[in-house]
Amino acid sequence: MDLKSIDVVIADRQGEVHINAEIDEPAALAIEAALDLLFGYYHFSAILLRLNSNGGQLTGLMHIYGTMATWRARGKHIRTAAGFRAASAAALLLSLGEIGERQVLTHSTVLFHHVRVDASGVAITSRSAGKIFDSLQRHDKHLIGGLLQHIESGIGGHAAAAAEGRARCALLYGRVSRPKEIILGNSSCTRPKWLAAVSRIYDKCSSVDSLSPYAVYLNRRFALDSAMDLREAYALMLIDSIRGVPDLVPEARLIHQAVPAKWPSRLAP
Amino acid sequence: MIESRNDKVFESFIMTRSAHVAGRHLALRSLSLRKALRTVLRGQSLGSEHLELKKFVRARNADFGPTQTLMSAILCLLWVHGSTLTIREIAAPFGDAAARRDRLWAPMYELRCQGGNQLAARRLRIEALCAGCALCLLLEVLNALELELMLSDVKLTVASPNTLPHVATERRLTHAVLQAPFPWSAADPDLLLARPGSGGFFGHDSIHPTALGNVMAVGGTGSGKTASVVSVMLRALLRYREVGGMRSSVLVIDPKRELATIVQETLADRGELDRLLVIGECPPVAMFSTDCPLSPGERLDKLRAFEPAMVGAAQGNNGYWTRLGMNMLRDMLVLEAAYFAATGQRLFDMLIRLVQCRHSNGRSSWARLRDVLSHSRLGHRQLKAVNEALLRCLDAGAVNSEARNVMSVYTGSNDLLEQWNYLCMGALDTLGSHLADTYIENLVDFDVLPDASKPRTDISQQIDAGMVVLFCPDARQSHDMIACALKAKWYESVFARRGLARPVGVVIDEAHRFLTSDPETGEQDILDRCRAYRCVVVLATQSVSSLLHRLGSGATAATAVDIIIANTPSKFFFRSTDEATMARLQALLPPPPTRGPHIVSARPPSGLQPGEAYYMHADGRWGRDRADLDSLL
Repeated sequence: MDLKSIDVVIADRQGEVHINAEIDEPAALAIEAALDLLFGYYHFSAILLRLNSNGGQLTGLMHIYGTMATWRARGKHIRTAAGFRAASAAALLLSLGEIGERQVLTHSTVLFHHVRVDASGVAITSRSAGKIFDSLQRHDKHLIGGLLQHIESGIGGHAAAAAEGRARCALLYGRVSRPKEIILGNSSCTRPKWLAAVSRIYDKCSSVDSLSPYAVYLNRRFALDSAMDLREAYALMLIDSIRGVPDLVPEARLIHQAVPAKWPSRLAP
Repeated sequence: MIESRNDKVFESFIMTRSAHVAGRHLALRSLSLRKALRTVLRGQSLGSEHLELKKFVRARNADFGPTQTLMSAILCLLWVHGSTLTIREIAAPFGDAAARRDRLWAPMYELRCQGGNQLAARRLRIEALCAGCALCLLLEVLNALELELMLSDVKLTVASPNTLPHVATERRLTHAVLQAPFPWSAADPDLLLARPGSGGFFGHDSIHPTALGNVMAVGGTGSGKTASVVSVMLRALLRYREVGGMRSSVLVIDPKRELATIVQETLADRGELDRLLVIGECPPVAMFSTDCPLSPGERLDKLRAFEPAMVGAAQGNNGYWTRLGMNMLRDMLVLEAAYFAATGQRLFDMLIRLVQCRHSNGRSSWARLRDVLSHSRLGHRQLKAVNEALLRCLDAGAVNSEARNVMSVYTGSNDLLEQWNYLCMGALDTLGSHLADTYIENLVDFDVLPDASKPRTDISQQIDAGMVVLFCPDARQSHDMIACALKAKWYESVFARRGLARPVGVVIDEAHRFLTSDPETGEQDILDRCRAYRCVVVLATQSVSSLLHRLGSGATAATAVDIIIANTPSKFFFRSTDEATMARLQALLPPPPTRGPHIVSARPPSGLQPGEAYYMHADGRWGRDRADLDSLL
């Protein structure tokens, strides 16, 4: 297999697209052709996008997103899985996979960030910089809005999404050591700082009956432009499972049937 | 069959035969019709059982164009007293015949004046490319000559049925005079398959019969073809009413007893259980009517089509004796028919009485014939006794047939007796033994000379009454034969039924057991006509190999399977490990648009889950999906 390529792998029950390349415009067209082939000719009802990419261009990402939406409208499922890394546009593609079927490996690196521009060597004025700033903000808002809508509709509404988030946090509270052991390979288990903040976000979502606090948090987290703890990605519903960590399950709310509206005192941050 | 492609040969043949042709089948093909007709019109008569006029050559003279050719062909009817006249492949637009009417009809009036014109063929079939041409001309001829119509079965097949309503209205034709196909129209309702909006039946909720066509479901046991396709189609057909409210009539052959329950439940839900007719619980189905125009030999040939063992045997080492045996059977039936016509008594009954042989409980001619032949095989003395009794009966009835010596030639020596034995075995071990089975007599009456006093079920009447005929055959060869006969009779009745608007369905599970390849009722010749006669055929089978196995090896069987698959526009391939099925599927589905393996190679049908299928709709759409059982009606 070419390490810089987009390959189509066909098994009897599932077709896969292996993306081992930058997500630029040619790659987006190749991915579109691969989806057309797997859905349109091979008639798979579900396929897997296996991502191992550092990211790419916004235009490529938007093109792939549009293609995915077209096939989703026809009842097709697009699962995603990260290999060694899924950063930038690849990370967003990972999160835009079928809710409940977005998987990473224990050693995967996922990195979410806002839209960047590479303006080195280009002289800009304050006016054009302001335009770029506005444009970037618009794109950021659009991407986070799209992601939010995908999560909300995939889980079944904002209330269900908030419940799911709370259940995931509860899983991490209750079994916080085990994923850390598996992921980091040591037994020094401390409760991560972000967990309390994320838990509060979901509480706030429940109280205001909206996912806007969650969107604000995501916006802030993306602005950090740093690799994300896989447990945090799980708690933020950006991924659904970590291969080899059976404790973290997609649709955690189903195993937490009685997720309380308020955190019990022993779990309260 | 007499076939001539040379005008002079034909003319001299007519003349040397004293102007009377009485062969069984006369085919006039590619003749210059003017010469042929001129010969015939001199006052000679054709008395052949089957006259076929085909591929007339256009005359060079413009005045004698295709229109006049057809008229001339119809004129031939005046001297035809045979059972069937077929005129086909006449591509003649009617054109401005009205303007030239006087000139064209003049010779006909002359002919009429010669007197005694009579149209007496029992069956007339005109297969033309233009309905207007055939209909108008026939009607003009009838009107112009003031002929007395004595046709019992008139059939008109046209390739452009759209022209028919206009012509029919204009000429005020009725189906009583001319019977033309009555295909589905856009006004007919859809077949309801799944809950509205669900797309539960492979993307469809309902489908128009034209868009459906015939249906084939292929898949191994447990692959889900019955639950996903066959039962759905069956329910839809049982519930279906055409736009005038006429109920459908359906034949269901259900060897696995899975469909019987569905039939019963569906009809019970609708309060229509009186529509159900179960073969075995009713008088035996009449295979031949008492006024059947076929000769005994033709009836025997018809029955042979239901018995694939006969075809197989004829190709093996016993082929010689089987063929002789069949000829002997044919001769015996000819004698029986001739004797009955002369005396009103049954020849085989008389023989049994005269030679005092043991006789079985069978009531049909087949059973009595078996008793006579079995007795004749016992020894030289018995064969001679049967032969003498036979000749005595024929002499008494003044039956003078060439078949009267059917036994005489075998009475000379012991060697000949041995040959007679082989001959009888060839005849009885295959066809005769099944037909003479008393159990079968209770289901289908195969008697070639049926007894009019016996109660029998007429399939034509059942179709005209909108009945649902159900047969659940056992895993016996004789039951397969019954199902084949039932199917053949059904098709025959469908194409000749009175209420052509009535929707008709045929649902056959395990269809490979009941395929026939004869030209009259074989699926390869029938399916393409079904759409024009509002008939939807649903065939379910295990695999393509099982179809090939049934129809025999060789190119002919493969071609027949090709035709059958081509004439079933809606196809569903369920799980199967059969290589022939995979190869067929690969040929049917398109290759990938870009580089890559064919879908059948990448996702072979052996990996399909129960209920999952490769489907192909008549409109060309195809895919791999499963029916949503919860939303199916």
